Amino acid sequence: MTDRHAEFTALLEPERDALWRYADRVCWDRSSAEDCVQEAVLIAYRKFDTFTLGTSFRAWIFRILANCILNANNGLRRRQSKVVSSEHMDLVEALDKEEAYQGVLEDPEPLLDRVSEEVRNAVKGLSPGERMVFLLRAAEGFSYREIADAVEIPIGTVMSHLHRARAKLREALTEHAESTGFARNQDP
Amino acid sequence: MTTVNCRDARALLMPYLDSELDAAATASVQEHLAVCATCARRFEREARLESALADVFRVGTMPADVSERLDARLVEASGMPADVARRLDERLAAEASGGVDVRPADAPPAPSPILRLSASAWRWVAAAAVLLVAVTLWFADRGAAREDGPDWAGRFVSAWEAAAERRTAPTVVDADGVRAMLAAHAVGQVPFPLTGRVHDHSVELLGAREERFDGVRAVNVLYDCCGVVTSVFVVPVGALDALRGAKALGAEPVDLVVDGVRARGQVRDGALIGVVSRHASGLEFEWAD
Repeated sequence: MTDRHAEFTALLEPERDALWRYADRVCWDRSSAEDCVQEAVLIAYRKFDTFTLGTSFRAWIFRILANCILNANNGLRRRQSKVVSSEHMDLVEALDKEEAYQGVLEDPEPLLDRVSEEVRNAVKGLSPGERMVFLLRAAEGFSYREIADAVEIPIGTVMSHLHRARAKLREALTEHAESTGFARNQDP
Repeated sequence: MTTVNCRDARALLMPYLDSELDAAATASVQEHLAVCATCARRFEREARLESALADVFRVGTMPADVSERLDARLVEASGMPADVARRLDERLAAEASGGVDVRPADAPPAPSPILRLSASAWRWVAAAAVLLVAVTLWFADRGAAREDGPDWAGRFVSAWEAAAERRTAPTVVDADGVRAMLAAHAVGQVPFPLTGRVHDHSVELLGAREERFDGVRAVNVLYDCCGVVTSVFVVPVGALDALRGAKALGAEPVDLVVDGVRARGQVRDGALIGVVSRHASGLEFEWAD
């Protein structure tokens, strides 16, 4: 048991913070996030014999965590793969025409330094599916295939969720830049 | 190769930045970017924004109380006896209050030392690894100048014992030390194993040996901390040119697969140093995806 436990603990250790970040931002409250992380880790521990060493432990345990989150939040599973209207599909294209967005693109770091909390909160405005997919890609660097496996949705849905999530966040960022005069301040 | 126009290229922008396009589509986009300064600038700006956005969401660590409760649940799931679990709690409390080992001196050794490793202890194992490598390499460097000296091994042992008593772990590995270690073939001269206690953890330096892979020379240091046998690898960065390809080795940690096990490495003063949380019988490196 010691070897198995040691192996599991060693693989889990580098993923702890990422698992927490993900659960904390997908779930609505900290208590739910902790419940989901604990449940996922314990399921992974019990099923560790089925994990193939040398394959991605990260993808494996995130898949379990995603399932725990979906099971714990009634309706998330139903809604996470629902294809919503495409009203945001062309948002990035529309944003292209806005001067404020050009300002954001020109020099994004100072703005994000100032509004990082607002941007993190803006993620709550995403649909559950968009939120799960975006966080796996942007924060944890998962490939589309890994996201599809973790959240159990088709790759096409991953791409559309990701596109909408990015468009919405860019829209929020642009609105903030406009309302605070950031874009204008960037002009010489 | 299919040529794409500006609109097609924009449609492929995000999948391209995500490295999700196949080779043909990637080549098409790159061909367009090479001739269209407007799109090239746009791609570069979007990549920068995406990177800055990602940084916002990469912040955050598991709170200590959540981490401790998770450790406790894992211990519970492992079937650890209640008295051992109690000692774990005591240890966690001791670590939180400054790292004092409150286990009675006459207490029997824990049946499963690894179970006593909390998250903070695991992080300490990594720090201990750095200490061991720093010590090893520093003395290898000194040994290079006097590799035939009669008391070289004795000096190493004395220094090891002194370092094991230190309360702070040096974290700088100098490149000259790595080169000296490799040049002097000093790894075979130390009378391993060496035992000691570092930061209240029992540590046994099991050995160090020179490894070769694809013509790259590296040092593999094995040590046992609290029952966990761990490998620390040290590779001069210059020797990694053939392996790293497009990977830029900067100050940020890099993911590797060493001997089939995911590992984390970091460049310090010209050497890639990393820890594999189990004994690596050989050093077969590849970059993680």
